[in-house]
Amino acid sequence: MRLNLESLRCVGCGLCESVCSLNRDSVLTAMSSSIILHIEDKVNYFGLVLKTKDDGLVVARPEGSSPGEQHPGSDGPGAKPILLREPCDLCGGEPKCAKMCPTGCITVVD
Amino acid sequence: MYLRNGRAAIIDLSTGDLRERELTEDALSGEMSSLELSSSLSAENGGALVLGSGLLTGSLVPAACAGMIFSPDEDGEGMVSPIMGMAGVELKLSGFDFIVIKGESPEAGYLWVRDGIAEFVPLPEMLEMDSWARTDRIRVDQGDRRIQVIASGPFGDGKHISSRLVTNHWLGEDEVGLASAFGKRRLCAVAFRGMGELEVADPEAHFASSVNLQKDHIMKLGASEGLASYFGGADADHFKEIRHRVIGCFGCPHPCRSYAKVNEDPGKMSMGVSEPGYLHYDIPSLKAAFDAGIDSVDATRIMMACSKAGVDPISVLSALGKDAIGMDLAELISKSSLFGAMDRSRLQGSFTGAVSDSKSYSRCISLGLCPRYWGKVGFDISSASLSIESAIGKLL
Repeated sequence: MRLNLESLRCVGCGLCESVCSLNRDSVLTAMSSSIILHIEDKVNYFGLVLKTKDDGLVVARPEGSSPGEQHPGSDGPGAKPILLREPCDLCGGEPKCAKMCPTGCITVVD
Repeated sequence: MYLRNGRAAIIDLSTGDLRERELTEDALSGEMSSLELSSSLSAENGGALVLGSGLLTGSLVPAACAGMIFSPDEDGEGMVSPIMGMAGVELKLSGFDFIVIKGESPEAGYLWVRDGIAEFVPLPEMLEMDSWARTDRIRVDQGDRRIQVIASGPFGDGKHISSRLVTNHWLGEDEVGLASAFGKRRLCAVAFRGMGELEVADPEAHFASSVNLQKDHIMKLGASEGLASYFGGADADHFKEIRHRVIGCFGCPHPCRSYAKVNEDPGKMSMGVSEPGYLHYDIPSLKAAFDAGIDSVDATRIMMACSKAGVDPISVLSALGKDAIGMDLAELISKSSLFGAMDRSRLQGSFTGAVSDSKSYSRCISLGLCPRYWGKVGFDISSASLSIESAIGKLL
């Protein structure tokens, strides 16, 4: 089982970050999630970066996804880079980000 | 304390002094507590400007994205503007429930808030920048693209009655004249980044009940068409031709924000030019442009110029009509004496008028819920009771 990211379905709502952290640490925050939103708001360029156990980082750009790519993540010196975060554990078999995603951008595939 | 930090930052721009004020759970958890607290914090601090978050801001309740800005007006009442996008949530996650700004800085600059720290950064050259340049400069200087910036522009600096604040490059919230509250303090922008965390009463129940509520809403609302879901004018072919992608505010399953590209191919998904277009969610302004016979391309360019200037597009369009087409920042400033203040509260598509009455609007803002979304889905707070109770540990 793995997560599939269709970047063009993403509306940048950030719920995936929040529910990931809620599942992991029982708090709402964008700082401990295994998935982060990358936004360049001035040019409306946005997508997702997911840290996985098997494929490394999956970068879901609007131009298309690329597994295994090195990516610093959407952050600065004050934020927690995704490479320092825990990889996705698929919430033990029922990924919450996929359940909460309102657009079907994040889905579960076998 | 659930969904709250329990403290406000109070910064005196005259002296640079920062202090914190503890806020009790009782004071923070009422249905109208956020607006009431904003008003009382302002009064306690000599008519201060207050930025704050709602009780549910940042929770999984659908569209719990709103923060607020409060400034007392000359009538002793208050001007209140929502803060949309990601900014309301990031404000709450900065470590403070409210940021109280008093006094007048001897130098122009911006307030930088993150990680429970608030500091004024003097930067006099900001007075030479438009609102977009201010936003970009802060993000570069502080090294983080996701920093949220509420900026004024030259019209705010000049304390113009038609000035408006710009949130992350965009105009969209309603209140006109609020940017002059920045100008009179030599405050060019407030920037914040949310690296904190919020506790919820029952995480599993909050997740499950919020998913159920969201799915009910999606079933009711159908697929989102972005701005066209809220404004029929955005369904026009000339708007569709320049539409790029739809983007939502935090937690919104039915977004109203459609980006339009006028400086590159709207179908281009990769990064291109630095200023390809504009994020439309200011329905009254776009409607005013269309009503004046201006098409989407020119309307988008007018919005870009107004946003950089930090001036209300309706005030500009009312004074200039089609003559506003092609005007740049310098030309807008040269015409500033022609612009009056517009009351947008009753205009079609405004956030203020999105729910049935002013009390419902105030409840939405105080709770941190988007009035536009909740107006569309039907503002019935009892329908969200399971989601709310699991978040804050009690019923409203």
